[in-house]
Amino acid sequence: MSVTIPPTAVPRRASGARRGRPDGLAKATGAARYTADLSLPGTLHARLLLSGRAHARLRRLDLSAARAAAGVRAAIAQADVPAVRYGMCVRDRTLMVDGVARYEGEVVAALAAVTPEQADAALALIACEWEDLPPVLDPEAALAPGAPLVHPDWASYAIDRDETRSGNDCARVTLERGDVAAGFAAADVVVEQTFATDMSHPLAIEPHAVLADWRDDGLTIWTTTQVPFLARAGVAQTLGLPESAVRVVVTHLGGGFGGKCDFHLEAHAAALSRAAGAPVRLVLSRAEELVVPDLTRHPIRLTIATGLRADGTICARRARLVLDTGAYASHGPTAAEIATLMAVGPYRIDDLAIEARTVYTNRTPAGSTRAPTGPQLCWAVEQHTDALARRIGIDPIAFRRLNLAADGDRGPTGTPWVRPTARDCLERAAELLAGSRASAAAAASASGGAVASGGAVASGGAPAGWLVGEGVAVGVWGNVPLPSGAVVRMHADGSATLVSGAQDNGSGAAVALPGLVAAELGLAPEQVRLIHQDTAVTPFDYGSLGSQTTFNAGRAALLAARALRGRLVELAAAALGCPADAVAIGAGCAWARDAADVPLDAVGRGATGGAPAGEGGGDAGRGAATARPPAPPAVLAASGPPDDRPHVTFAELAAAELAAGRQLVAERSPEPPARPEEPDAARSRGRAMYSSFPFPAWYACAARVAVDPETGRVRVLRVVSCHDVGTVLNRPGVEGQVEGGVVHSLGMALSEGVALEEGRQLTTRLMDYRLQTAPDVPPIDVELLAPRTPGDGPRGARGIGEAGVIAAAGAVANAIADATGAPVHRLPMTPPRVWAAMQAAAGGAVPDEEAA
Amino acid sequence: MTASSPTTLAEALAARAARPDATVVAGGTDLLPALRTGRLAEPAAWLALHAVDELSGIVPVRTETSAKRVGFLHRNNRCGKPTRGARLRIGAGTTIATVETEPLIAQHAAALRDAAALIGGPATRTVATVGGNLVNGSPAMELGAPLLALGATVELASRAPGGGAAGGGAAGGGADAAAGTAAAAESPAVVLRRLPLADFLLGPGRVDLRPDELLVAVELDVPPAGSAYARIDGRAAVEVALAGAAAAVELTDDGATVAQARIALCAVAPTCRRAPAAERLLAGRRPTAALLDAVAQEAAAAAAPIGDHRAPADYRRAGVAVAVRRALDAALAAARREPADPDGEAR
Repeated sequence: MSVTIPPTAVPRRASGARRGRPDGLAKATGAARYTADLSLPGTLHARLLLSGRAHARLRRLDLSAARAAAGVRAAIAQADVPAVRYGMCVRDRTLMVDGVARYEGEVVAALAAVTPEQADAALALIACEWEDLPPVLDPEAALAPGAPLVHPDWASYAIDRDETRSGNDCARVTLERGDVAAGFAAADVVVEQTFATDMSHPLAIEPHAVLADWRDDGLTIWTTTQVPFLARAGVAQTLGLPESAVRVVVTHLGGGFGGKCDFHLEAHAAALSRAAGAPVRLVLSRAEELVVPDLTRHPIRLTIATGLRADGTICARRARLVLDTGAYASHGPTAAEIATLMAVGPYRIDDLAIEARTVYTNRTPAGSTRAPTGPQLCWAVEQHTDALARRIGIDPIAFRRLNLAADGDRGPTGTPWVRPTARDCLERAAELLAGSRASAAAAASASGGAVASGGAVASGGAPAGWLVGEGVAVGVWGNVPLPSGAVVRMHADGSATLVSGAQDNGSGAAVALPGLVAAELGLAPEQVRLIHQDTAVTPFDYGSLGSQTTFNAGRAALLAARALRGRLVELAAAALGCPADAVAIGAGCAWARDAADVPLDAVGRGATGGAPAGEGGGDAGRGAATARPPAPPAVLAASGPPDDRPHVTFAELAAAELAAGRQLVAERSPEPPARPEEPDAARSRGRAMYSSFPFPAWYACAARVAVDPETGRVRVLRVVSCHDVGTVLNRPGVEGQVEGGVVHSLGMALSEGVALEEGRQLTTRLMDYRLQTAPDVPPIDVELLAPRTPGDGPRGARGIGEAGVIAAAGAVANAIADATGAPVHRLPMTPPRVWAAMQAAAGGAVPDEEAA
Repeated sequence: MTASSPTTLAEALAARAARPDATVVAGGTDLLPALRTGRLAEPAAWLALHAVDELSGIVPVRTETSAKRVGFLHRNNRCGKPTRGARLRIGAGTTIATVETEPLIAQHAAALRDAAALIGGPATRTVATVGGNLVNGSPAMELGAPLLALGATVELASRAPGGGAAGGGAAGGGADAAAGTAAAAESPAVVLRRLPLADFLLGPGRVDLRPDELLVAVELDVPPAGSAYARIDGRAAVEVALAGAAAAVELTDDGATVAQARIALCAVAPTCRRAPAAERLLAGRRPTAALLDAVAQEAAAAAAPIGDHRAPADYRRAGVAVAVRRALDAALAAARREPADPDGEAR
């Protein structure tokens, strides 16, 4: 489903490496069709009846009037679907309310009617009788002995990890290392602080939508999912079907940010379609979008204590995290694993005791939103780091230099960090922010400062009378090594198709894969098309989560392309009568190299002349990459054969193969790179996915803000975000991901936060849930370090989907504290909270801090 | 479901009289969100005013002729440059974007321009109207405080009982049409009711608009004064005030003393309203920094802010003081820049 862009439409820039997104034109012109745009003949409109209650027993449910209403073709409840419990980590939920509703957005019933108006009318005819139950709203109270249980039958639920749960705590995760008691005893200074973050939302502009078409010969579902294969598995499991009978397809996805990272409403629409004997389309309203899908961002309460030696080095850390995971576990346990790693951050700390509790409450569940727990923890830990620096009397950047992990230092589970670049990212970010001070000062003197606080102010300059401050935040994030498959097929005319399991959530990572393949084959990008996000057609892939698409699907695509290239080289060598290692390819042709030729571009050659580590080469792609030396790659030319040189075209080779009854196709599902040894991992409990950050990516953010001392209003003047992503395959793509991540992070920092009343969200409209607007966004500088560590992804690249969102909130927090002298320990740092912190500081109070 | 889209005021009033239950819509920027959230029920009938050109426009009018002025924007009411005793007349259908950019507003009613610039975002402002903002009656409406500080009165029109058929007014002159307002001759078909804006705003979402009436215009003072509006908020666009204040001050001829001051607050009471105790504190006094602080505190003490998930009450109360102080500072600065008022031009 890719779109051809005429060459003239692709922007050409001096740097040469930039090119437009293959799906960009369709999306920008409105030609792109999203799931909610799709329709089949006879499509019915679905509506969901939600519980609307935080905690209640369903005493009576009567669908008869709804079923008899005009235009209604199906109405179902839990009794009409198989009794199956599902859930990624804990199998604690059912498709619809099974006796007890545990949050306001739980689906009680679903119906489908000929028109949306008929569906709305019929919804009102569903009769329910509820008995309200006391809601569990405070995670700390939920942990107390004797607290009412959100899941009385919790012990009977299957769970994907060692038993670490009790009562309302569905996953207790620990990270222990060294001897933390001794560490604190040896400390000269101990600082303990508490921080708390509000629930927030991933908020893709496109709400969840599903079109399900149940037929005798199979079920096809078009859906807004980031994880087509997981969605397929969920449908198969909950409706009792073989996976081979279920096809999940994604057209264009209008953003996910983690909010579409699970199996959500596909089975509901499919069950309706089966009952109605017609296709059924379900599209959530914005309010439903915020309340129903179980992937909000975890509210976290964090108490962290760190021991310092007199020289400013950290010797011990203890932390207790409480994640409010909502009514169902969702990805909460995995998020808790990550949170414990984020509590250590990129620092050298030998003695650790980190504990996370994943607590059920009667609210919309939380799950793996973009960089789950990353922004919240980085915001807290980096403020804590600044507090440590202040306490010991060292400049914040110097303090970090002292304590950031260096090459060979051991990470939290004993694995040595290999050439960590956190320090480099930090230095570079701070340097760029300092460099922008001059232009900011000029802008400030030119600015008049309008009276009305929303008025226009010269960008980069602070309004008159506001306090200006700067802050930094540093971090580490992982790239999850996961299986992914790719098939590259060459057609009779020499063009090619990449069939990839990857899913593109709008980041452009998947749609960039054909470009990788084209480069490997010496073809123009337009010559390679992409087939993806269709479970009936593509190999398996986990989907657009965990920053894994470029890292894993890219690896598979690259290896498949190289395998095909190897075959083409063999065929060309036979056709040209020369050895295979003398073949050069480019522009869809192959020819024999001549010693007199001008040296050609060696695209695809690793830094050492062989294939990069972890990728294998040629036909050795399957299985362990280091088993035997890779075949030398063919030399790729920047353009076609020199004049008068005998050559053969790919089309000729392909046609000949097909005529002989053979296909030109290569498939690779490479084993993901092995994780390093983790000698200290055994003492950590409750983990299934993350024992450490695998294949780390490093980042740092520096921010300058202005704070209105009378109102606490914060204006971010500039942000610099510096990242080490290894090789940069597509610079505009990476920069776009970081910019978007920074804006997302600023929203979490300053304005996004869910207000709840008795477990029900108050802020369910975009008018009330406050995103940052375009005029709020400051100039953002994205800096990408030149790669230094050996990469483990395709051509040494690492993922960037998540890292961009993590550090800006922490940098802004530290900048606010620098400006006002009053750190804010609640996220978002709204004007009332910033103001309250300043008031308290003026009165002599220190927020949540005890220094020993 | 019926919908009517009249093109003249007379047609609109006839439609209003015929279906008083019809939902009136101009730009619809408050209406559509209200429908989507269910705050407003799906209308049985619509009365769309976007095509009634004579509801739009900003013109100066002479006050001496107000006794005779019954028609809508009668030609004889219009004056050239506004002078002491003159007023500005703003048609209810005037868009916020027009208010934001109209030089007459910038020059003589800066508080209104300040407020208009803060409503929603650029797209909203091109279709939202002055009348819509007022009739919606939100306690946090942007235009309420500036208009109160500028001594606004609203003009409500209805079809006269037993009134004649639609129309009956002679078309106005070309110059009037170019100004965006059509003049209708004095017409027995239209009944006008005028009241101060403070009496029009009754409570949250409630205004003194009868079922057969339409808001047709707002008129405000053009005194030789400076005015300004300041708002406390949380982001740069599409925002609702946490607290807001408008101030209009008139200085004595020597510029040293406040002759008269009007201060109005928004978002901190059931409706936008004046702060009379604070005004009295300032009238006739030299505007020293200490006095202005005291005035701001007095206004804050008189506010009745709610606390909600956006901000606690103490934050809003503190915000009132800040907004009042900033509005006063800017209004005083503007008043000091105002040139000495010459006699009005000949008409």
